[in-house]
Order: sequence, then C-alpha cells, then structure tokens
Amino acid sequence: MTVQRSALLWMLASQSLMLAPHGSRMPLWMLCGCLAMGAFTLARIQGYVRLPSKWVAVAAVFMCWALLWREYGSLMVVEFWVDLLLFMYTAKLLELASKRDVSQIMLLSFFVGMTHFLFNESMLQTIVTFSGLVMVMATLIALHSSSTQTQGRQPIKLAGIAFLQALPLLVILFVFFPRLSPFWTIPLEKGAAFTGLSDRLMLGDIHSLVQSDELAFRVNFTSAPPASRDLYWRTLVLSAVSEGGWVVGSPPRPMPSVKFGAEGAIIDYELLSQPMRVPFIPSLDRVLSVEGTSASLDPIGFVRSASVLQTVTQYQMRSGLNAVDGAELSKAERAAYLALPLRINPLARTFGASLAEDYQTPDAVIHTVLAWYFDEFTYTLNPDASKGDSIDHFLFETKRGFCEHFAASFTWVMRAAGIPARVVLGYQGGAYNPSGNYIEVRQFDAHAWSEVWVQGEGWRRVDPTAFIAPERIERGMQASAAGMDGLMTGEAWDYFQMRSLGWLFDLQLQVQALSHLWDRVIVNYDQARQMRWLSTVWPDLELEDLAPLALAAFLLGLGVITVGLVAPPFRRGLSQEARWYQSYLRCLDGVTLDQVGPGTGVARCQEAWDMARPDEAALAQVFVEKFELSLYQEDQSVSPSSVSKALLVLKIRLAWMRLTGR
Amino acid sequence: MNEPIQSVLDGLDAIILGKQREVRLALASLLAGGHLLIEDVPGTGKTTLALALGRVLGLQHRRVQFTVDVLPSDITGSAIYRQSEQTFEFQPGPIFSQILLADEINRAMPKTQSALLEAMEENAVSQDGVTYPLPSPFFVIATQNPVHHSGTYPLPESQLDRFLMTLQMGYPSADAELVLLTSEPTRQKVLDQSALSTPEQLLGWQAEVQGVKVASAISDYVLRLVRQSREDASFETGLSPRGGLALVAASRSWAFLQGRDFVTPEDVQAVFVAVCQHRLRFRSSEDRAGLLHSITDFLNHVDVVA
Repeated sequence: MTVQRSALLWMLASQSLMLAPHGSRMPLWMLCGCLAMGAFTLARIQGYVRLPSKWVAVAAVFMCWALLWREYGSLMVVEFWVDLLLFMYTAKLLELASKRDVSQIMLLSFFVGMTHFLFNESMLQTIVTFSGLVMVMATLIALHSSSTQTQGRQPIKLAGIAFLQALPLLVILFVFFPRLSPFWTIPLEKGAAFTGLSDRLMLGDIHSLVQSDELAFRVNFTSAPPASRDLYWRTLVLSAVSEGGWVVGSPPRPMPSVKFGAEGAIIDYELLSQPMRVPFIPSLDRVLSVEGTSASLDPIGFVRSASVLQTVTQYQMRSGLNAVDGAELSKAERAAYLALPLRINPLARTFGASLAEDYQTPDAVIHTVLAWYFDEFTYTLNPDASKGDSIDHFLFETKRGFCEHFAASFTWVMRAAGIPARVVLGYQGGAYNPSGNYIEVRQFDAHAWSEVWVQGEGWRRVDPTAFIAPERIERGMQASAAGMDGLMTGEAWDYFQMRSLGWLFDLQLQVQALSHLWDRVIVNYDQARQMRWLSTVWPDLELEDLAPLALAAFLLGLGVITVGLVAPPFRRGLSQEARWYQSYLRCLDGVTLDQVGPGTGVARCQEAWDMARPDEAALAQVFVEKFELSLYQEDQSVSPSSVSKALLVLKIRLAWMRLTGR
Repeated sequence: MNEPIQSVLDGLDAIILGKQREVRLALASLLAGGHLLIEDVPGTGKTTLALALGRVLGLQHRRVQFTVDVLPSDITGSAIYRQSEQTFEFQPGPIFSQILLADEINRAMPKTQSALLEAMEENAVSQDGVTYPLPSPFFVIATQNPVHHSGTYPLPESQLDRFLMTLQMGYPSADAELVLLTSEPTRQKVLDQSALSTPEQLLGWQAEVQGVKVASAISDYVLRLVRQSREDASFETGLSPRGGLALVAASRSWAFLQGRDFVTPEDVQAVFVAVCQHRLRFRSSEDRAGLLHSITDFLNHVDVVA
C-alpha cells in the first residue's frame, strides 16, 4: 500500500466511530461482517495478510444485497438503503490500495454521518457524530501531510481547531438557513414499533406498557405545574365496543350547540411529544386550543395529528383543568354511547340492568359500583390472565385488576345501566424535574379511565382506579409501584430502582433536563420557531428574506475567514512568551496598567501591582515565578504548558476574585 | 548572596553614605572586569568612592592626579638608564597597580589620556618593543569634572567607549549630608578601613559572574535595545556592538549582586543608563535630567518580551 500507516489507523478509528451509532440497529450478520473487515484491514496494516482477490469483494457485495433483501423484503424502507451504504462503506476496505480509496471512504463518512440523524436526533448522538467528523478530518489531514507532520496527536489537534473554527459558521447556518421540509419521505421500517398506546383497549395492553420506561412526552408549564392527581393526559377516547375490546370507533359529531360550562382553571403549556404509535397527541384534561404541526382538535375533545408522529414534535396547548363540560347529547350520540354488543359479557350486562332498576339517579349507580370495587377488588400489576368473557371473568371471578380492567368494566356496567359512558386512554401524572422545570411522562404512566355523561353536567371523569388505589393517582406510578402487590418487572423496575440512588438520580435529572432542552431548542427548531425568533430581532422579516439573509451571513463568514487568511499576521507573529506577557498585562488592574509600558518587565509589573493591590498580585506569584524560570533561567523542567496553565489559573482566580469582590 | 560580597557592600555603604545604587554599580563594574568613569562636580565623593573600593577590596591601589603637564610616561613608567649596568631599565609607572585611580582625567592632554586608555585596552604596557603585563585584577577608576568646566580636554567617544560604566555621584540626601557634616572625616574612615576581601576572592567572583545565565530571551532583548538605539530619533549615534557586549557583561554582574544566577530584563534596565549614557550621542543638547528622561523613555518603548 502506498498510504502511510498512521493515516490508515486514523481511517479505521474514524470509520469505527461513524459505524458505532448504527451498531445496535443493524442486523447482527452485518455487524459481524463490518467487524471482520475492520479486523482484516488492521491485520493488513500490520503486514500479516495481503489484499484478497477482487472476487472476494464482488461476492461480499452480492451477498450483502441478498441478505438485506431477506432482512427487509422491500426496497422502500430507509433501513435497507442505509445498511447498504454502511456495508459498502466498510467493504471498500477489501479493495483499499491507494490514497484515493482512503479519500473515498472519508467522503462516504460524511454521508454516513447524516444517516445517524435518521434514527436519533439526541444530543448524545450529535456529540458522537461530530466527534466522528473530527476524526474523519484528522484522517484526511494525516493522509495529505508528510510523515513528520503526522506524528502522534497532531492531526486530531489540527482537525479539532478546524472544527472549532467552523462552529460559528454552523451556528449561522443553523439559525438563518431556511428550514426546508423534506421533499420526500421513505417510511422507517421500524417506525411502527414505537412503544405507546394503541388505538384500542384490550385487557392486558396497558399492563404490558407499564413495563416500559420509555419516554412518552415532556411538558413545560408557563405557571406552576398542577398537582399529580389533576394530571389526566387524555390521548384517545374509545367510544365503541367491538369483539376485540374498546376501540375509537366513529362516534356521531357532538351537537353544534355545545356550550361549555365552567372552563375551570385555564392552563397554558408546551408539550414535546416523542414519536407515538397512534396519530393522537396527549393533552391535559379539557383541551381548549392547540398549535403545532398538523395538529387539530377533535370535536369530542382530544388532539389528533394528521399522521403518526415519527419525530419529536412540539405543541402549544391550552386546557381547562377540572372543567365542567355541560354538553348535551343528541339522540344518535346517546345511542352510540349506550351501545353494547349482545353476545359477550352477559353477566355484566344483567348486573348493570339490575342497578338501573334499584337506583334512580346516575350518581347513585356510579357510587354503588365504585363502592363495590372498593370493598371487593384488588388493584394489582399482575392480574390473572382473563378467560372467555373477559369483563365477566374479571368482575365476578378474579376481582383482581389493573386500571384498564377497572375502566373497561366500569364503562361496560354504566352502559348496561343506561348511563352513556366511554373509556379514555392516556397517561396519568408524571415526574416533575426541578432541574428543567418540566413534567416528564413515561410509558409506565399510561392509564385508562372512564367518562360518564350525567344530565345537566355533561361528561364527567370517573376514575375507578382512584378509588381502589388512590396512591397511584395522588403520587404517581412510582409511589404505588414500590409497595404494590405484584412488583413490576423489566425496564420500568430498573428505572424505579435507579431513582432510589440519590446522587445518581440527581445526575439523571440533570441529563434529562439537558436532553429536554436539546429537543425543545435544537431538534424542534422549525420554520415557525425560526421566524418567531428572527422576528424578535427583525420584526418585518418575511419568509422569502431568509434565503438572502442566510446567503449574506454565509458570505460574510466566508469574507471574514478570507480576510483572516490574507491579512498580514496580526497576532500570529507573536511568540508564545509575548502572548504570555500580553495576557499577564491584561490581568493587571487599571491603575497599575497606566504605569507600565512595553518595556516594563514582569518583575516590575508585579512590584507595581503588589503596591496597588497586594491581594490580587499574590495570585500572580506562581505565574511570575514560572514565567521567569522558563524565560530567563531556561529551566527545562518548566514546560511551556505549565506556564500556560499557571496563567489560566491566574485568570480564573482573578476573575473570580473580581466577580465576588473578595 | 554570599556573605563576603555582602560585607564588602556594607563596608562601602558605611563610607559612602546614601549612595547605595552608585556603590553597587561601581562594584558591578569591577566584577564585570570593566573600568569605571565617575563624573560629577568636585566634592561629591568621587575620589572617596574610588579609594574606598580599593581599601575594602584589599587591592593595591595608586592614585594619579592628572594635570595638563602629566606626560604619558608619568603614568606608564619609563626606561631609566642604569649607569652601573649600562642598560636601560624599565621603571614601572603608577599604572602597575591593581586599582589605578585617575583623578580628573579630562585635565590631562589627549596624548596622556590615550596612553592610559591604550594600556587599559591592552592590559599591558609596551615600551621599546617590550610588553610589560599589568597586574590582575586591574581596574581604572577615573574621575572627571563635567566637560564644560574650564581647562579640560574632553575624552573622545572612541575612548569613552573603553569605560564599562559612567557614574554620576550626585549630591547626597539631606540626612546623609547631615551625618557627613557631624561625623569624623570620611577620608579618615577610608584610611582606617581594613580589607574585607582578597584579590583572589575578587577573581573568583569575576569567574562566577561569567557563569551567570543569559537566556536567549535576554540576548534578544539586548539585541532589540541595541538595534533600536540606532534607529531612535533622540540619538544621533546608537550603541556599538561593544556597547551591547558591555550591557550584557554589566547585567551579569548586576544580577550576581542581586544574588541571582540568571539575568532578568530588570538587570539590563538597571545598568542601562550607567553603561550606555556615554556611548550614546544625543541629538539635542539637553541637560542631564533631559538626557535621563529620553533614555528612560527609550527603555519604556522597547518590548521587554517579544
């Protein structure tokens, strides 16, 4: 090979870093293949093996196509193409012969870097990708410089400096460059595999969901967040019963003359939702308005999105807390909310009918059922598997259940008793993060409850779980999880275990707050936000102005860089010693500075400073000693970096002293 | 700093009151092996300083009072005809001593001056084709009255260059002068002063001074000073290469007197006026304060670190 060994090692390192984020996602055979090709190249660099015949590479490519086809079965998924790119990116190693090949691999690295963000836009991912890019640049530097220049860490140092220099340009482009929506989308194959609520309620669904500690959404309130017991995040309203369970159905539109009763406490908040399984967005209690990409308010009072969320998305919402709804039901609606399939759960239906005969008012019926639950039922995370008619089985045999059992059976009984009712799926509670001042809701906060219609009052929220396991509602899932019959297992349990470790938990809170901030500010920086932000600076800004503005900013940045390159050296001509000296001079206070000129040595400056401000000058003692040792005694044991370090320490301590006035 | 040096300094300070800086400069000049020119109006203690140096350092010293009629041979010595042996025998002059105190050197004729200066440069006296080496250590401490005094032959620049340093004694402070007036005569104190060190010690110190570290940062600084002095608007002639060497040598011994084994820019600045004032020609004929000011200004504008 005609390429230097160091450049090849840099190449392998940067390639590994660029592949790493895909490591857990890609098929196992591919991971093994990539590792094998990397190991092979390493052996080649060391001189143990030689380049294989080109047929090996050809065979590998064909095999990869075949295996990928087997894996995904379609060309219309992103993963197929991404994995193909990754494989080619690695398989190029099998024909690595010249500098040009290394350049090509590094060029591909930039594309690979882009694919990272198809699957993950978190801060951590960004850091990993950017470090990968720095490594790629280091490889290119090592590749194109002579062997004496590529010693040790020199390439990565240069690449790091270049990267830092590019950062301002990155910020400019990020802020000003027009945010384009994608021209095309290819669905992610595993997009549907996000955990979360589904659009139907089968007994056991939520139970499996609460095993997951996956993040569902985060909410920032403009005022103090409400108490946990008021945090009912309505996501779906299930109005119909089918053979399989409760489904969204298509309830008749509510009467147009709906007039709201008391709106309750008005509360504004910003909700940042993670990808969901269903095209519904959680909203708090009685949602009044919503702003956000393709979100709309359903007439029966929940938020729909035009399509299933694939990325983290932000919404501005306003809700009335504990509102009295005051809705009237039309005939069609009444029929729809009373409908029950005939063949299943006969016992429950008979029970409901008998309640209607015994008690005159809906309130009495509701209280009787809740009291019955309270007396005879157990709230558990480990309900027995239901058999046959699941609601009957639960109500009259096991009497052990989870929120979904209670909500489903309660709604069933209400309908049987002639009271219009429906099931609501959503989340309840959430954990307050004091570091970021937001509430975080995870999948284990998933919850189901009922809404019944009462004449004169409208839809009323009835949560049977609140009667049986009040601590679940008052203090959230984690409080009940600890002492509950039937401990949770899996991830969610680990999550709660973690919370009991004080400092680790605090650290986790900080990290979560940071990641929330990242999602809000960086990932969700869309066109609307861009315009909002820019118009605070420039009120008359139109969308069309953005492109020229971005171009101008870009050219300006380019101009600055050019001037910097062409202009005569400004500070570059200064030696290290002179920079130390100048830097030290800047530390002096104003009075002392007046007395010194370029001809005043450090020792005399220090004397003058000591006269004016002995406490400040004392801080500089270490630096002055090191400076003189290094400069005038040429003491080899004092390294330049230790002088720089002493200077840095001086600056920091001085800044602190001046800031605190001590 | 080592103790003998300190006791030498203390001894000198006890005789020359309130002139610590001048005393140290004078000693620095001797330690650097350079000759010293003390310049001021009569009666400011020039001769006392010279004598005191000789006594305290335990060096054999002689004094020559220069006048218009002093001939070169009065200084260097002359060949005397020995009738009994029918030969000329060289009779060494006063210059054959470890310290020669040349009082009022600018009253002598140029011919006499140049004979002295030649001997200073060569460290030897040549007479009739024979070279007689001067003793070691050998210093000339010359004093001169201000140049504009009547009856003087000013030393030319080329000869002034032979002196490492020029010192102005200046008037003593009021306190020092009061002590001077009330205590026993200074001249008596000098005569009573016993030697505080030996010539061997002095030679040892000179060797130590040679070993004082001059870092490249200092050489660079001196180079900047020398080069800028040639370009500076206030000087007609800048420093010669010999001036630069003198600056380094004097800085070394100043650093040594400060108890350090390396030179800092402050050392260079401390000796700069003494080493350079007689080597620079000023464009404007100002008074001494003006000259000092322009030198200080010059020092303040040359980068100490670059």
